[in-house]
Amino acid sequence: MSSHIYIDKTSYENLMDYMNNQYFVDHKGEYIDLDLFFHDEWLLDSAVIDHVVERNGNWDVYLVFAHVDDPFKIIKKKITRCTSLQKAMLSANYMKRQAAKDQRGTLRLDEAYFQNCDN
Amino acid sequence: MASIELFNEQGFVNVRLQNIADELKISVGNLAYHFKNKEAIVAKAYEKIGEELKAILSSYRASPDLRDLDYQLDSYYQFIGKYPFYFIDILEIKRNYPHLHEERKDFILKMRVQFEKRIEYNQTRGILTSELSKQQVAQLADNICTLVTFWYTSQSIKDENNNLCSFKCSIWMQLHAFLTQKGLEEYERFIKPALNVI
Repeated sequence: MSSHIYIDKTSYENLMDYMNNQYFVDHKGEYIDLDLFFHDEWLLDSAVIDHVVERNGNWDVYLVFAHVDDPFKIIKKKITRCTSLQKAMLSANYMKRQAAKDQRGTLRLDEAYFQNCDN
Repeated sequence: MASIELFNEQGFVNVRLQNIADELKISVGNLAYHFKNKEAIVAKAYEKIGEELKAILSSYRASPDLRDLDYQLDSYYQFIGKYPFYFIDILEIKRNYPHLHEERKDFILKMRVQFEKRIEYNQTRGILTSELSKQQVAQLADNICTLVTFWYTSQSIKDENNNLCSFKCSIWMQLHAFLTQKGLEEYERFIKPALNVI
């Protein structure tokens, strides 16, 4: 198969820029990045979010612990597995209330902290 | 390959289909059955050469330091030694087969962009002085590109010895004046030992 693909000058320059930038942004992870797992005091101030996912005919209940000030500290744990959606939702609700520091649920995480890009 | 060797030895304009057929020990008619004229042979040779040039160009950023350019200069030197007619007969080929030269121009453009982006990259790393303006960077990249393209021709005119060291020296000397203190240290560590000169 012929491989005649023409890249114009601007695209080629952008490609080279991208490769150059990789040097400045792509680094291997450090052990310090895993600190959130070993030093888990921050879990006390975390918002707890329940997440129910259907998988292989059952419903898995996950709890997501997210720090209220630093939204990039997130841990997602699988808590239990239920055979019906209603059971799973109920179970998720109880687990969440048990796990949350503030059971009224006033500790909330603002979605805007994550600065998600919708593109 | 036989035609490329003849182009290298005798020059592109001096080689006729008869010479190539003699080299291959076949008849001109047989050769003409596969390649109807010299242009078809040159086009095929250019295709092969283009593949090798693409491989060299794709080695961009093989190393995060100055050795990246050094490695690529090694490849360019080997390439020049393998296909000298590609550099010496560049104007003849352009004159005779302008459409073949179009692809060549694309390679030259990419080569120049790569040199330009390498300089910018090393400026960001603090290896080359950041005082160079965008136009100066483009000009410097163009000078290096010209050197790579016409170095062999220049050496042949002067009847001087072609060796890797003199090729690389001529290019590194273009950049040497713009190295920062950090750049000089990297140069001393990685590049100078291989050059044995500067």
